[in-house]
Amino acid sequence: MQQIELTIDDKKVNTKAGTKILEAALDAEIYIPNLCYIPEAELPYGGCRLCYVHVEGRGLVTACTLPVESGMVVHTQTPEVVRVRRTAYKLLIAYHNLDCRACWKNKKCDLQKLAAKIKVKLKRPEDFRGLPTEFLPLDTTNPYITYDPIQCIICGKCVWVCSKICGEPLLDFAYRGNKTRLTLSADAALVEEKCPSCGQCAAVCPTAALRPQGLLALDDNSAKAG
Amino acid sequence: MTFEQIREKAIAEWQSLEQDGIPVIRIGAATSDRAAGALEVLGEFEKELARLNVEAKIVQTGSVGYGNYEPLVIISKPDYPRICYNNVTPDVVARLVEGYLQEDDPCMELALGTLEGGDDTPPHIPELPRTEYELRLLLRNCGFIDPENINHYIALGGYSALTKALEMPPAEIVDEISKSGLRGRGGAGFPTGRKLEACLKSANTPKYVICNADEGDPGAFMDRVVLESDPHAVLEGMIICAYVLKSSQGYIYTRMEYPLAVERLKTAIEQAKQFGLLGESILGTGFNFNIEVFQGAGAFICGESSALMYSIEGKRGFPRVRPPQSIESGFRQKPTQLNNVKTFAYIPLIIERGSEFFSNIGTDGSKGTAVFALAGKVENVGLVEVPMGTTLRTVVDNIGGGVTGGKTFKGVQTGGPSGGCLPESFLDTPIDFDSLLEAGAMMGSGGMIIMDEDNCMVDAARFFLDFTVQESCGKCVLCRLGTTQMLSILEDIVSGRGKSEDLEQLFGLGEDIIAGSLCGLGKSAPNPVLTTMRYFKAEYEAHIHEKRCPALVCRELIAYYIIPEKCYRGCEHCIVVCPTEAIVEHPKRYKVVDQEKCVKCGNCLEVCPPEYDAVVKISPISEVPHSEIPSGKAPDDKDE
Repeated sequence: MQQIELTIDDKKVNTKAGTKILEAALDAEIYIPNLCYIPEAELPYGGCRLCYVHVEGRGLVTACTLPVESGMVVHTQTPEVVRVRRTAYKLLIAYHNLDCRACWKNKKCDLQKLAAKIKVKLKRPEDFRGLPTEFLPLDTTNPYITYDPIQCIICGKCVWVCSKICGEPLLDFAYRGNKTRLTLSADAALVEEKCPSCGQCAAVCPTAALRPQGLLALDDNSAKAG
Repeated sequence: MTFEQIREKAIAEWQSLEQDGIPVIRIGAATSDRAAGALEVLGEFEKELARLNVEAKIVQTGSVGYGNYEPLVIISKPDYPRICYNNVTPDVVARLVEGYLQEDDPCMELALGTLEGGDDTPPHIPELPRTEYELRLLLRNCGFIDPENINHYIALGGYSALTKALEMPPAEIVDEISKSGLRGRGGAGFPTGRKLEACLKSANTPKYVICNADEGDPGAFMDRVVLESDPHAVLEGMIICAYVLKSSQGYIYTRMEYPLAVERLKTAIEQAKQFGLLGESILGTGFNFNIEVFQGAGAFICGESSALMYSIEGKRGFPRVRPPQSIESGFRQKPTQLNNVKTFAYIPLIIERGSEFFSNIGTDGSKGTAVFALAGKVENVGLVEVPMGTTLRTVVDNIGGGVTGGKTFKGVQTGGPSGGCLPESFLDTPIDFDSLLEAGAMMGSGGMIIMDEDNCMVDAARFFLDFTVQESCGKCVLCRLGTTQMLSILEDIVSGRGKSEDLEQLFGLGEDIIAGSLCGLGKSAPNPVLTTMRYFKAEYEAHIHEKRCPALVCRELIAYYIIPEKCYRGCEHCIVVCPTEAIVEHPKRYKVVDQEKCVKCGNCLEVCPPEYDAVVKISPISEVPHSEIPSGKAPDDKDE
């Protein structure tokens, strides 16, 4: 495989052709924020809009989508990059339930951990309007997994892992726009027949949106009894 | 049958239509005409012809695009010019049949004018001033031929571009399209020739040809009219592209909401197959190509190319990240040529008449004609086709006939919810891809909405943004939540809760959404807000600082008030229509609005007889003169 040299934040990085900038940077221990990136996925999802970098000659691009090119010069901290990234992050937390200390995922939540890295305070951004709607109810239709729409950041990781394991996504997104949410039982019969209750969807969830229940919750004692 | 024979037969049928001594009644029967009552008119014609025993042929055509004149009927009678009748109602049908068809009185008082040209030149009506400014290339057949009869299309030169193309090497066809300067009519304006060339060069097979007919902008209906009025032009363009790419499968992605377009497309596809112009071994060349009509469920996002392709694959309509581009890996990860309806429909014209014919029309950067759906506050709503480079002013004043009711023009929104809103000072901007983009608007797929002094620009921006928020696919954070955030701010502003820092916040969010959204729809969603903020800043400031809506639109910032001096005391129209009993009678018998009870429905303003004109809207609410509210007694009827 052809090797490619590029510069990320003044550091020379060598990587294989075809690698995406984000992967090259993470391998070289240069951190670029991300929430929806799955290294194994054939096609990047590109939904979280956090991995923005500035590539000379191209401007603002998402690092998860653009393959490296020889001689490419990448900056991960330009004012524009920082601004767009913060806006995306602030939007995510503006519509999130930020009562972290009461949350079962406290200290294991990727969204929470990002705050320090992006240098944004983990509280409702003052210049932003809050939730447009009431808190949505929990989806408890699946005996092993519950889904909390308000904690979901629509990163698509669970949908991806589910389709990898079962051949087709048993869970997928429903509705549009800011009402987009995961549906656990779009086709209840299909789920009943095919879902192995493996819990991988909850395992890849970066936030507290998908929560293991019952037997699945036994080994990580995350779910409260009763 | 060779194509020559097909064409001869078609021409013979077309000529016999008007030359066998029997009058022909063409009734526009596209969706817009039907909404105006065309089918009732059609039924009435059939009834009257039978009743009076008059012989005439009725042809259902598509739409000419003159929305305000529909239903439109064109009658051709031997020895008379073709006469075009506008706003025909069932009541006048008897007069037309009896007066004109039976007794030779053309009833010119009912007519819009005479229709000239037609067989080899685009039909036009000299009595209509707007036709002077228009150039009908794409719409040349619309409203004139029967879209469900392939012979009409063939007789007027249809499918001869295909026969010509089938004898050309693919590279030459690409070259011809490139030289014509045709740019994609879906909105972005990417050079069609270059796209086709890139797709041709891709080594991956099979390749697909997809027509994007998922027209979803509020107020836009160009593609629908083309599909309903001249579907074969689109098919022919697709077949030529498929021949270039050696593609064997094509799709037309249209909307469930366009049932007539779907029906007419399916008929057109069937007929083209019967004539050997589509399907197996097209015109005996061994080249196979099939077209399937796919009906989307009406999601706006499925007009985005990658979401559209996912939708046909049966997946959720989410846009995909680029790279790879669709020309390398699109539908089913194969090279895909996706174009707008109008782009495909131009291709036969370019191949048949040559690239120079097309490139001689328009401006340096934008060739050919622009097709717009003119809507909003103008006299002549409907479809407009003008050479690129025509100014907005020509379209609004000369073709549109000026603002309705002699009101003052305020702004024009081009490009629908992705476009921008331009003020009066930009009316001399030429209509082409680059000039509109430079002005902050965009060509878009061709919606053009005219707004007058009665439109509040903040409310207009809120309307378009509300549309994008509803129709955002939900995939990327900036569009899903960023537009929601902007909408919350705008809703606060129009309801009087705006803060002075809101403008800056709106601007910042807008810039970030444009810079950072995943797909083209997100990247353009803030445009209506940003352009109205740029050109109508004073209106935003009035809403925020004075809690005043200058156009008297925003409900929470206006109040209804009855001017006592103007109120004709004996009339009780307003009292009767008020749904909340908010209007009471003063002892001096003039009427008073109880602001506490008023829900601002505007009924009173509507019914107040124009000779009194006593009800007015006032903004800000603080300027409503204080009026004593009588104790709420219903007016007694002792005087009656």
